[in-house]
Amino acid sequence: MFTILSERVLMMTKSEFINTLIQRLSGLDESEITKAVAFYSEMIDDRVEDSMTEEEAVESLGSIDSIVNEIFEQLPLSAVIKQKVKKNQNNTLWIILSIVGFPVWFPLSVALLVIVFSLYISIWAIIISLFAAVVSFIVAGVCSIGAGIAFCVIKTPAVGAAIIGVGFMLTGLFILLIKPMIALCKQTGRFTGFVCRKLFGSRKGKAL
Amino acid sequence: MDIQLKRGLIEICVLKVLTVSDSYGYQLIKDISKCIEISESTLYPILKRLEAGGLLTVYSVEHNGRLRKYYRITDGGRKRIDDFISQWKEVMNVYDFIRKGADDDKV
Repeated sequence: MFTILSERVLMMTKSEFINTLIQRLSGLDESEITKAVAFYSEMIDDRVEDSMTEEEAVESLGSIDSIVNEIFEQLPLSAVIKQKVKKNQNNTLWIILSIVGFPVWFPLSVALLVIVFSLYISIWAIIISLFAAVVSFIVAGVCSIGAGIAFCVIKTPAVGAAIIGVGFMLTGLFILLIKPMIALCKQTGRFTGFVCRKLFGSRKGKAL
Repeated sequence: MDIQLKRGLIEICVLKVLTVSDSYGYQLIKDISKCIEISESTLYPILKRLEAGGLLTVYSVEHNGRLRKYYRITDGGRKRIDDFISQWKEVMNVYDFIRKGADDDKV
């Protein structure tokens, strides 16, 4: 196989060599091919002038494989991947920007995330503390009523009645406030669910 | 010889030949062959690189009814040779260092 191939190279005329070269370089820039063809055809012509036959001149250039390999190997990488880069230029720009901007956008986005998270936590903290206040109303109310009754029996009934009154007031406040508090909790929970669904839902949609 | 080293050396050889007079591809091959083995496939990309780097310029001359490309060295090219020579002194120091080390190892 190898000997047959090298014999073919040996037999090549200038035009055969040039045609093969053009064929092997196809895909490169036209100017690139033209330059290479001009260079090698000048080389062959000069050798022929130097009393070689066309076939000898072609043969002395060496194998067409090494000629083509050298051209591809020495091309700037930009020329080889020019086409691909053109297609992905926007993409590449974004990638470069995000890499270059990393020291800026990364801390900023982390800070933003932390702020949003802490806001969310503080909403729940407010709700919990409000809840604690409302619960303390009922606890204090019930205790006051009990204490008021005890006061009526043991000491002054008038003071006892006043304490029972305060107890009823506190209990009333509890009954008044507990419904809106539960509603507030439910609303906050619903809002959380809504935001989560929006975030994860949109991601799923994109993935699909 | 290491292929990259060889390419680098041939680059300087091309420039050196051009300091004597402008020349063309086949003549360059003949001149440089006296000192280092060189083929067209090696020379072609080197000439392109030297041209792209502004170390030589190219012009065409009509010869026997066809165009022949001639190469002319630029000031940048001459500077490249000077740089090479001054850098090579360092390389020779390294060579002596390695050579000496190798001789010592043998003893």
